[in-house]
Amino acid sequence: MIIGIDLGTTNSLCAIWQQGQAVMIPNALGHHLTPSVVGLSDQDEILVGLAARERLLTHPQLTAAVFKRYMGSDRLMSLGTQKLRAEELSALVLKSLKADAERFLGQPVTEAVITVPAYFSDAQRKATKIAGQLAGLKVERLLNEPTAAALAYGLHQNEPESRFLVFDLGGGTFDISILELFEGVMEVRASAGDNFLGGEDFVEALIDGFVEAVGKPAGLSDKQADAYIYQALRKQAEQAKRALSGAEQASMTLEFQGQLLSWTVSDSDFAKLAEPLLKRLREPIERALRDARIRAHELNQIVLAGGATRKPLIKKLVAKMFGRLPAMHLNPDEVVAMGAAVQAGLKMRDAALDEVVMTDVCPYTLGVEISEQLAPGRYEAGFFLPIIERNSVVPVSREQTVSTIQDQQTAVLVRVYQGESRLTADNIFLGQLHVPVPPKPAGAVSVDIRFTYDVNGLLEAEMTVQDTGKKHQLLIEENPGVLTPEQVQERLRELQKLKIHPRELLVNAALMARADRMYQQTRGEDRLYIGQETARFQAALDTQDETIIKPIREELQRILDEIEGETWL
Amino acid sequence: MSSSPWHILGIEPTQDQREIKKAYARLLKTMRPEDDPQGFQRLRDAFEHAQFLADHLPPPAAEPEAQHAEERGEYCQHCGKVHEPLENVPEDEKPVVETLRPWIYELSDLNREDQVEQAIRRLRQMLADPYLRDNEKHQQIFEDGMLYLACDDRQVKDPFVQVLIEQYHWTEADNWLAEREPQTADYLRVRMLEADALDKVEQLFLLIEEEGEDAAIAAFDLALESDTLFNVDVKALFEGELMVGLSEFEPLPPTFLHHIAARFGWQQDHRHLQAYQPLAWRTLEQALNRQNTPPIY
Repeated sequence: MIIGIDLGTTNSLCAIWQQGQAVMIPNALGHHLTPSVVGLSDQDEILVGLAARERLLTHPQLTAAVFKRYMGSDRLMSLGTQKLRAEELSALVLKSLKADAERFLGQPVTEAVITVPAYFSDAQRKATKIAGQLAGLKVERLLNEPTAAALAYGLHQNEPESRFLVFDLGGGTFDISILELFEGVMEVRASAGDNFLGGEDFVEALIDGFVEAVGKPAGLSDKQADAYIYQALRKQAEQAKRALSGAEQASMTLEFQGQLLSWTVSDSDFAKLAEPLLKRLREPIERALRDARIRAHELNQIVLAGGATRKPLIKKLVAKMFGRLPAMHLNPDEVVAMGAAVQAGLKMRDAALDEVVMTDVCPYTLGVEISEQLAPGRYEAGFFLPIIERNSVVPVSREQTVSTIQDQQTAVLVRVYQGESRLTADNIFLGQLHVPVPPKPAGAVSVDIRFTYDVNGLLEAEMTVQDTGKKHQLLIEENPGVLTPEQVQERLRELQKLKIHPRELLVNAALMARADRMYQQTRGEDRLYIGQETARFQAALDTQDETIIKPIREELQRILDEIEGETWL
Repeated sequence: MSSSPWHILGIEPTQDQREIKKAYARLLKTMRPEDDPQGFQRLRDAFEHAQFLADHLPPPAAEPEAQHAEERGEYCQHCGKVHEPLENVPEDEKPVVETLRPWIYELSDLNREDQVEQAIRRLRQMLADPYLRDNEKHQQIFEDGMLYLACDDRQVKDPFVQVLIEQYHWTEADNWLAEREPQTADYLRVRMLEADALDKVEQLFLLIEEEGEDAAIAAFDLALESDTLFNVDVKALFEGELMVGLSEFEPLPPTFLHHIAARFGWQQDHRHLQAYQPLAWRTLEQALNRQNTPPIY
């Protein structure tokens, strides 16, 4: 059984293809969404999901979130005394989803399709694969998120031929894909995106607005200075952001050095704060349309995916850019996971999907560094020679030929880059190889460079020296920010040492964490009440008797819901 | 030896893109990208090559200037669609349609002959005619005809459509059209934005001539932020027309050219300009390169 996983910045989900449809898998709390948050409990056990998210405020030093942003980098995040990479934290989330799937299916699960932002780089894709490996999952396929959303939508299309654009704004990343559907073929025509733009940035914008308006006058100018204050502000900003989806204004409060700071934000204030972010959404859209050579009015539908597209602000922007209203028939939080399940079904050759073929593209240009002749005999290095143009259909293999520029040159240094700039300095370096060549006059030796890019987004370069016919291969595997196989093994051993909080006790842990967090956030009577009920719950937990725990847990849940409304996911 | 794309696709050479897609789709199911990467790439290359050939085969000979089809129900070369046969018109409306059709044709023809002012004048006269003014049914049928002109008759000019929209309020949210045919209302809205964008382009060139490049640059920046250019298609049109206009502008305004090239990122990405009008882009690219070439020592 292959499962489909949407490993998101804010939330992660898991789904399977069953009896001809995508089925969402609930987690230990019965939710479809598992917050992508990892924490250490007071007993030094790993907590994943809602329980960990609730502890962001009460135990910021023991909790990590938004780590997807650091995939493919060497950045370490602390969990108490432990230092973990983004792959490892992601692996812990994946492990938790895997356990949910195993419980749901009643059988072990070892293979998965995992979605990644279309615009994820080579290093970020590899890091995602490694995260799967660390979680004990063989990653059958990395699927681009907007393509996944399109797969889910495509199967629900009644028109045999159509073109649509998927606008996928997740917690941390933004992707655009343009698809064409014909004769059972789902063809991605173009993808573009921004790996550092998502719902989380809108939360940050609100925090900045708060700091600017009431924080600074009270002496709070650096939101990051104190982890507790930052998390408290985040929580307030998240709640305000949600409130602004329905109401015209929302308020944020913070206790700071004995004073209560309070700020009311209207939806037009929010629009102003978000303006720079909205501007950044435009560029990838224009680029994708240009690359697909499709005009917006030729699109049959604009489809929204990602929780952040629920914001009225975003819907309004989309309507204005395209001159019509976007579609949101499927739950935008779940649509990517559903598409991953469809892909898993395709992988398993499910009969219901027999007539469907999907083709995807490589969203960025891949090439090598060359020197250009600016004047006779005067060369300058640092120019980019594209080999595979962006938005080529994958798998794809393309070749370019370069020549020596110096007499008696003995080697050609092939440096591989990804990006859209004419200058390699502005592109991303992927790897390099020295190719020895026979010493001859300048220009007399040529090397064919062939790039092959596969369906998973992995690149291989093959260099052939024309004179000798000798071939040299470079598998772009060990780029900066990616673990080597030996390091992976070592990390695997380290991870196995971590104790995971028992799945069946997660409900209690999540509720307790929420009660603790609310105790800190409330005042007066509410606070006393929560304190009392929490103590009662703790006493019940100590009995370890589910018949005693259950009614008290439900009572506490009801009380907390009453005070702050239901927990949002 | 490389086979022709038609051979790989297993079809005769054709200009019919649909047929090419069909052949590709059929073969694709036996050469899936993940199962048969080599076979797939060969198929894909053939597909793209065939699509290119189909687009670039010589087009069919231009058709002579067409007149309105005389017969009802006959395909009309002039309007590019079949005139509604009178059999489909409810019995009581037939005489009205027969009376109004020549009116509608007259407006279409005036537009085609570039006599937009005259067309607008005639429209106003028609609206004031008792035949329309005093009968709601007649008014309705005439409005349908005007909507046809605004949406389906390619001869009809933007200023005329503008007048129609002001007359009938089709693009307003509470108009009957918004509810019954939202896509038509969307189309008209975008069409008006496009007209406004073209107007903006013209204004910029006037500004360069009359007030100089700096004034034009300031106006350009303002235009880029305007609501009109918020729509992606409209902005693309603005960019394309600005490029074409610039390539024909003499002498080339260098500061203005560099400014807009930078704002649109033309140096990094110009495939769309090449597709829009290759000659115009080549002219501008040469100009940009000339000014960018580093000095040679």
